[in-house]
Amino acid sequence: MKKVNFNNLDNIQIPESWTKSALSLPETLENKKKVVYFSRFSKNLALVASLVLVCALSVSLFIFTQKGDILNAHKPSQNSESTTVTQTEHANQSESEVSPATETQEKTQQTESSTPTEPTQKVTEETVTETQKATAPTLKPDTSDPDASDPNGVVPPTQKPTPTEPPETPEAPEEAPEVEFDGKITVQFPSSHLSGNGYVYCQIYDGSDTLLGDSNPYSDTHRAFLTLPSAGNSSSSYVTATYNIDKGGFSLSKGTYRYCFYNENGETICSGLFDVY
Amino acid sequence: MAKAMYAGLSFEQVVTKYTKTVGSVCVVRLKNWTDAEDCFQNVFCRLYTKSPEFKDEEHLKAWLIRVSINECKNYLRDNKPLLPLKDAKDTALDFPHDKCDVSWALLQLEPKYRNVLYLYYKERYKIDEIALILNKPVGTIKTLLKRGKEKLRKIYGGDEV
Repeated sequence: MKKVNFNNLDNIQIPESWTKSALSLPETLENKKKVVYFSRFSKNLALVASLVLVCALSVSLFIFTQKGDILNAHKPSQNSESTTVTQTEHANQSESEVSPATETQEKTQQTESSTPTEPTQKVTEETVTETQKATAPTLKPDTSDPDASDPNGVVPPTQKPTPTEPPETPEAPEEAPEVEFDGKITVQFPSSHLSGNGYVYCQIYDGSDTLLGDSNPYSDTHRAFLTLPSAGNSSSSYVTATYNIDKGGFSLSKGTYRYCFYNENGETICSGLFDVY
Repeated sequence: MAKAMYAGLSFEQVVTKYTKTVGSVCVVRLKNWTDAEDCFQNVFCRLYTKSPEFKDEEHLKAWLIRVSINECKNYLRDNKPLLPLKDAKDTALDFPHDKCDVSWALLQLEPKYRNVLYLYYKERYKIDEIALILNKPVGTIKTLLKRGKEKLRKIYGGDEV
């Protein structure tokens, strides 16, 4: 009977070439250029890409926020500009001469003295209140600048902001008789100047520095009306006050007058000169 | 750069000493010279690249056998559908003597019996060592060994020596 001899398993002879190939493996592997697969680093790349994306978003958000702050800060800066104007105007209160800077100050004060035909005064009429529009007796269209067709341009120019204002042209006195003095003075100032209930008063002094009207500085005849800042500037701390001279119970003749706005504490908010033709 | 040592042996010494062991495992498992050669090279390539640490030569030998079996499994898994039948015939293991060779009879068995019988009779491993190498329970190895003997006897005929 045939016997199963497992020693016959040694019959499997491994070729010599296998051994030679295996012995040459180190040289082959060292000479072989190492291949780096992209997929091996895909996770790292994704992580790095995510970090870069997050950083970019953070930076863009930061820049956007900074821009927003700048824009918000820009509005108060405009107000502060006008504030400085009023302050400088207040400083020039005692000065007899008005520098060119006071022209721009008076622009912000917007004393209603411009005529429809004066193109240079149109610029000064940007902050005129709507109440002035309503009280304007006649409307004259402005042909040079559509923005200048605001109430100040419509209101008859019976008052002049300052005697030295260069925008005044020789034509202004000619047209002065044609319009009537509406008796309003409009100024702008920071709301921080308000006190108490927020009431604002105005006194008018004539050429001899004599107070016109009631001697009580807090009588209703000296009461000015607060209006909101210009449209689209709701967040501004800038306040517009209008004083109706006619309500004070006196009329102004031709000449130079001085106005003085003050708050409930008697602190002067702003003051200046104006002419009545 | 210092050459790596494997249980006190250099790579060349390991290849020379264990060529027959690794080659036989691959041949018995794959029953194809070409495929077995690929796996054979992969085993030593892995040894060179991984450079694992071994306690002794037995550990090294067991590691080589374990890796050989795994390589063969992976090879069969990855290349099974890609090998046309006619090509397989051309490269099939051919024994020069006769079909009644024990090795030929062993190759007729299923792979799970082949590994156990080969390790037990040829490599002279004990049952618990085979269980460790193949990562299977001792009882399973005993069952496979017993059934493998019976199947081999039916194929080859005769009684065990």
